[in-house]
Amino acid sequence: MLHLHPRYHRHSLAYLRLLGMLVPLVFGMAWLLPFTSLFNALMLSGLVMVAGLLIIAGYWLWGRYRPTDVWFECSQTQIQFWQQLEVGWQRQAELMDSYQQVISQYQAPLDAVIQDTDKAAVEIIERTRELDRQAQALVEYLTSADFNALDLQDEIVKNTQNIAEIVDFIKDLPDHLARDRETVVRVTQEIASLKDTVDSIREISDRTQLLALNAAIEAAHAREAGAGFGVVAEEVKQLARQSEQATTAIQQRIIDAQQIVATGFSNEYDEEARHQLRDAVQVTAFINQLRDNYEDMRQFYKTLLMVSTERNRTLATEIVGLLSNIQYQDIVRQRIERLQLFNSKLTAVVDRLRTKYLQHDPEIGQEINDLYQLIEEFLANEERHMLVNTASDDSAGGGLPAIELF
Amino acid sequence: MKTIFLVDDSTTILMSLGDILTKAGFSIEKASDGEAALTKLKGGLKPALIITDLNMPKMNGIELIRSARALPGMRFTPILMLTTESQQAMRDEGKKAGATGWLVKPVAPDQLLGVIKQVLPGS
Repeated sequence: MLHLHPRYHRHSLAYLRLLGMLVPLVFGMAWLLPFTSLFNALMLSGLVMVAGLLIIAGYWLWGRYRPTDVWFECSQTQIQFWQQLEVGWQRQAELMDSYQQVISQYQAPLDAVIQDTDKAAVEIIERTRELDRQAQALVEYLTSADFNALDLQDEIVKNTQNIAEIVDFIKDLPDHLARDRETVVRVTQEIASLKDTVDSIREISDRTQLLALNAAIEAAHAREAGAGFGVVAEEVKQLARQSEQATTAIQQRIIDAQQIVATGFSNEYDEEARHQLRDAVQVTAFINQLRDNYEDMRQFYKTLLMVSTERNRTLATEIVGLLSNIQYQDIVRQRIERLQLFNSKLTAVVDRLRTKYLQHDPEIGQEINDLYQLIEEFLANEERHMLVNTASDDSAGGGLPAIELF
Repeated sequence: MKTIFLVDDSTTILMSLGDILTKAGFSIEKASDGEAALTKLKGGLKPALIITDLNMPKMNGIELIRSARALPGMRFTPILMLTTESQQAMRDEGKKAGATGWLVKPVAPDQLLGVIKQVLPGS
């Protein structure tokens, strides 16, 4: 159903009234002619027409600048239609207003999305950095432990060699001891053979003493002449006594030496040496076992380091991939910003529409064109920023390469 | 160690690409818009490579390239555009301004490093 502005209704009514006036005028002039001259009839008709035009002009002016919308006498239906139309304008303006508010309502959440994703992305990057640092520190620690283990292993090998030398020495010790013992026995026999010599010396000493005594007696018989000889005999006696003392001391030393040798090479000593030798052999076995265990541990360390390094390499690759995906946050941010720009322009057009509805201005063609243009611009802009799947396809939107070197 | 100059108004891009390139063995300098980048270049920064965004506040990437190319010693420095813009018209404009290449976001790390190896032989 076609709805026209009340102004068109008013003008239509005015034209109908003019027609309504002209028809009786023409018929009135025809009626006057039999009673007066043509001139008078024309004059009369002209006056009536001027009056009619003045009335129409008055209607028009009044209709244009009248204080109220309803001036003409209209049917009740028309008045109701005009009122509904008035309400319609108002509702349209309110609709535009509410639409504006709707648009403005999701501007703030979009801003929040940008800020939140930005903040989250920064946190992800910082946590990723920490993860990377920890993984790197772990590998450095394991590398350091590997070097330390290598040094320790060298030390253990060196000590084991030393111990092995000691063990070899202890193993050979019984032979050494046997050889030494034979030597000592021979020495003891030699010492024992010295006893005969000592006895001979002692006998010589005793005989010398006896000889000195006889000499002293003979010197006493000789009186004056034997005085010098008596002195010599006394000296010889002194020497014989000292020789006796020295012989006694030598004999005692020989006995002591024999006892020492006998004690040193007793069975108890042999048993003790054999016991220590067993201990030494056990220690060697234990050390060898420790070395073997250590080599196992070292191999485990080496494997652990190798696996950890490999895992760390994989982790680093994944971290780089994760960091790369952070780019999507920027892409989302730019999309939202473009949407916000679109909304901002849309709000401006809606505001203009709202103003026109409030002014009962039906000329909204420009705004409609602007809306279509706005949509075209938005779509074109989105096409310019078309997302590229670089993983599977090396081309951007429109078949252009994602990477191009000029 | 070669220096790469990253120019982007996105903090996350600067951080993420900065970390990727640092792990690849490059030294990184950063600027958040074209104007700040130009100030650094005028201040004596001599990067081996510049990677710049297109749409930035104060001065966009194209203007930055034009201004940078006018600086002494910057005529042959490789400059890569890293942007979400993929249309031919913008690429042509970038090329005319003096860009060395055009990369559309998001770019995979291995592809980025591959391009860097091409424009920086021996890196």
